Amino acid sequence: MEHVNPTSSIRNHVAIGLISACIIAFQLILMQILSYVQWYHFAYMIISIALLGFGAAGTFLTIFQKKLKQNYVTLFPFLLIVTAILIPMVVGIANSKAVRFDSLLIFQDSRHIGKLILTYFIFFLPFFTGALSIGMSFSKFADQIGKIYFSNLIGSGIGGIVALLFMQSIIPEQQPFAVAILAFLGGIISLPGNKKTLFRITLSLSTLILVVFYFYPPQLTPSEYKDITRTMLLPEAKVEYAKSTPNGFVQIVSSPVLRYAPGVSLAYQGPYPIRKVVFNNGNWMGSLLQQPIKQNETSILDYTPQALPYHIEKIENALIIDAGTGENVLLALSHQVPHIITNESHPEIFNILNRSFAGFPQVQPHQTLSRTLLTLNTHHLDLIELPVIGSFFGNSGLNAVEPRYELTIEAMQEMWNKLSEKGMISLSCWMDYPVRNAYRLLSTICLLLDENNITRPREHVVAIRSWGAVTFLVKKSPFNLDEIDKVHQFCDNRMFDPLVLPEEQKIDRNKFNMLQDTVFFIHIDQLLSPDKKVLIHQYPYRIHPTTDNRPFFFQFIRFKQIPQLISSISEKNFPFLDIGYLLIILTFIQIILIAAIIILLPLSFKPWKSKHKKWVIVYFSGLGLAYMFLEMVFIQQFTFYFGEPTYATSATLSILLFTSGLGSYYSSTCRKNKIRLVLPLIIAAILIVYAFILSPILSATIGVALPFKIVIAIVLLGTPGFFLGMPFPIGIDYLAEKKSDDIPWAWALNGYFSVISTVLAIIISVEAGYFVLLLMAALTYALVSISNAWIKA
Amino acid sequence: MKKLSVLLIILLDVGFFSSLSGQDKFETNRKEMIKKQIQARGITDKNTLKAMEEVPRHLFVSEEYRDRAYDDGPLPIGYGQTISQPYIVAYMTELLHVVPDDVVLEIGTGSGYQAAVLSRIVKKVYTIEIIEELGLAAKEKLAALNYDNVEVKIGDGYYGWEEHAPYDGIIVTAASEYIPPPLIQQLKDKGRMIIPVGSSFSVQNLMLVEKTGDKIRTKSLIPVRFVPLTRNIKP
Repeated sequence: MEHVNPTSSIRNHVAIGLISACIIAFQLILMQILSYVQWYHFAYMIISIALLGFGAAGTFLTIFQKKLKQNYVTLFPFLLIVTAILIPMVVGIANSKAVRFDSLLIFQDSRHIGKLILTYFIFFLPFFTGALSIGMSFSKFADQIGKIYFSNLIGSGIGGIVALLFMQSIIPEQQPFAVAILAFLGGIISLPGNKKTLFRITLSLSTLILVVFYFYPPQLTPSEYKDITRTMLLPEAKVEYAKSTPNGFVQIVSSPVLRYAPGVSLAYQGPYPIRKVVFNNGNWMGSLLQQPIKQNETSILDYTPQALPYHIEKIENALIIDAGTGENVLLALSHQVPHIITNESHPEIFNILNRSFAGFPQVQPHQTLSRTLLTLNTHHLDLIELPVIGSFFGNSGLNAVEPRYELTIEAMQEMWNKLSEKGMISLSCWMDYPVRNAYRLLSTICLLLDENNITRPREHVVAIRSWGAVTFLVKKSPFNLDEIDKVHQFCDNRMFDPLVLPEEQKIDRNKFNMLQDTVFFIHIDQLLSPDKKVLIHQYPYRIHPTTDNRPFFFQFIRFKQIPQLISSISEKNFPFLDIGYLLIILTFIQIILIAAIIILLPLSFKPWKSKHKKWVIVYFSGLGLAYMFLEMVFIQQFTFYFGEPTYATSATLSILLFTSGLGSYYSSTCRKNKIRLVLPLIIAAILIVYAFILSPILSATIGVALPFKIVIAIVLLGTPGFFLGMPFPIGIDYLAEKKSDDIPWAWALNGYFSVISTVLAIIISVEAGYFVLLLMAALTYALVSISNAWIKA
Repeated sequence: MKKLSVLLIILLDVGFFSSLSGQDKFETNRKEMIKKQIQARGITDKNTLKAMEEVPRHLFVSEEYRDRAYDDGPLPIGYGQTISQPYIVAYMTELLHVVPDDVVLEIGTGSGYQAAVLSRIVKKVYTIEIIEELGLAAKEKLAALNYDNVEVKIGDGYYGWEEHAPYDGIIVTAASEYIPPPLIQQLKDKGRMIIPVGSSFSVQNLMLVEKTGDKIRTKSLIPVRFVPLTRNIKP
């Protein structure tokens, strides 16, 4: 064993911290890059790939343990520098024409499945080399595992913050280079001082390569099916503004043929305005309002069903939810609403919104999520208007696993509670085929009315339909005849058709916009009738109301339907329908297989003789599985709490990793203590308590000032985080103490289950909800604790 | 010399027959396509069926997708655009109710395939493509394949092609989120416009716009791919 002096030990800890920070930062940046060139759901793929790197590193360690340990001093800095070089390199290769896959062609063109798998392997490389360097350190300094794990977790926590800084200040193409510098610095400080020639050569070569990457960064080309790509094909299209933010890459594009008239009535005779369009991560976010805004100018949205509430009631107080660039605010303004509250969580889009209405004191924009605003708002509102739901005529389900807390039954109840006596909630959706959005909205409305003891829902619901969209109005008090007359007038003037009116009203639902048959009307009527549950249960898609526990409004696929959908892929019957969730399932299957091949298969060739085999399997697999389950639950809960997804995710990860780091540091002091055996049971107990108290605490304190919220988050995350950091180093420490060869197996099993648990957590959340996911994590820790009986004996 | 001539004849024959067998393959595929994908789904209009049988779809897709040209699905043609599923092309063509004397406007030339199919039925097809590269490629292809009654223009389809209006039928093959008023104005009385609504890579619903005097009426047509699923539900 080589002697390691105290100075080099400190350098080593710093280097481990740097590579850990680099890996986490790269992971977050890569998630952002893939959200830009592809779609959001590949974020989960990146987490899995990163963890795959860790698992594979464990396997590699097992096979080459002796050589790696012997050459640690030279190999460690070498791996860090290789990681630094690989980071910008793999981003460039994965985005090259030959390798780049397209999500929307995966079910259309089998070559794209091959490209997707190839992308897995390419992205896997820097995670593998980075993880190998950390794993080697664990193995080499097993006797100091607590401290090494501390450096690793603290570095990871800092990595989350560094990634945010990079996303805010550096263009996406340069971000991989920036994170690579962290690994490079780690490599440089850990280069052995006694090998000067090696030092010089490595330094010169790696600097040269990185300089090349700085001047020739990887080209990021969004999928040809993304809104931005299609828009850029328009004549004279040009990007007028671009800004990288942690919430996404914002671009503003202009073209003389870029018109804004989504679903506008055929009765509209004016010109369709030419507008600049705002994109976030290549996705359409809204169009820029014509400046200066004139309050009396009719909005083009006045010719869409969304304008209905303004034509039947005098609105005094309106809440416009998730206003985006402000088109719905303009609609309210044009109807002389004296008090308009609105929100937008994306900071850059919020700035646009804020600037647009700066001269209008009646408009109060808030930069937060709608649920936070609903809690904070104390006014009684005449109108709460949500943005149009769904994509224009059917979507490909790419946002299937994106939680939508503003559309859950709890959100609706909060809105209901804020309504004045004549107040209304306005919900609009694009028509999709097969119909899903409209049915899910109406089933949510009906449940809301049920829960508020409204026995005659038709008296409180009005709906109208254009050729492209449906608007539902839910009113706290029953609609009166005067209001119903105004609905008819509005429909006749705008060429819209009434869809839902009080029972006694005879209506022609097919006057202007005919449907091929009456199935849609029959379903709508059934959802408003007492036997709505029959339809909700029998409809081929999920249309039941969503809850805060399962807030996936756009996930319509039933799990049992998946084999049927997969079999129809070969018939090319649903090339782009609801593929978001299918991609998650596909990712899960692929990751199980790839992780098994990379992590477990090579180990199976090496005989594993151990007295602790059973324990190692249950203990380390369980820890891998449960920790990631918890991360997913906490990220969701605290995103809802802070009302700002990107910062909330980074803060949650950083607090969790930081406190876990403290826990692992502290664990070295209790290695002999018997408490270590029941530690997982303590964690399980905390988690069971959390399953019942976390959500109520967060709901009760959502309105307190930000500094208090941060303190509450630190306490709530830090308590389990501290304990969560302890079992892994304690387990490794135990194996080291026994001079066991099980450590790489422990590392690999932990890695394997971490890899699959990320995507599995999404599937469990969708199918059973976050509550069950949290309980499953608790159960897993309980099992881990029980497994300690094997070593106790 | 004699041997050389024999060899040359054999080689030429092999070339001829292999190219013939390639042609045969596409013709067979095309006939299969008509039978299994189009007639089987209820398309009965003889003009449409004849046109679909005549137009070599494989020549409107890139080399890499040629073997899959007669598959039952859309295919990418670049620039985020697709050549529609054969059934969609047939369905839209049939719905236009066009006859040999008619003049048709197409918005969104794309590969040029839909225009080629229409040109076998009507007197004249005017087609507009906003993406220059696609429009030029389609123009060249249609000319090379002697579709002389098709005229291609690069431009903004929103304004239609007023110079040749009114049209008996307008077919919009690029998905839109609005129905441009100039197109309705350029439609003849009793004329029909077919427009797909939705993002162009997930064409799920076709809209029929009928003009009778000053009155305009829309009709949402069957969501083609999902008919069985949607309609099997018992209320």
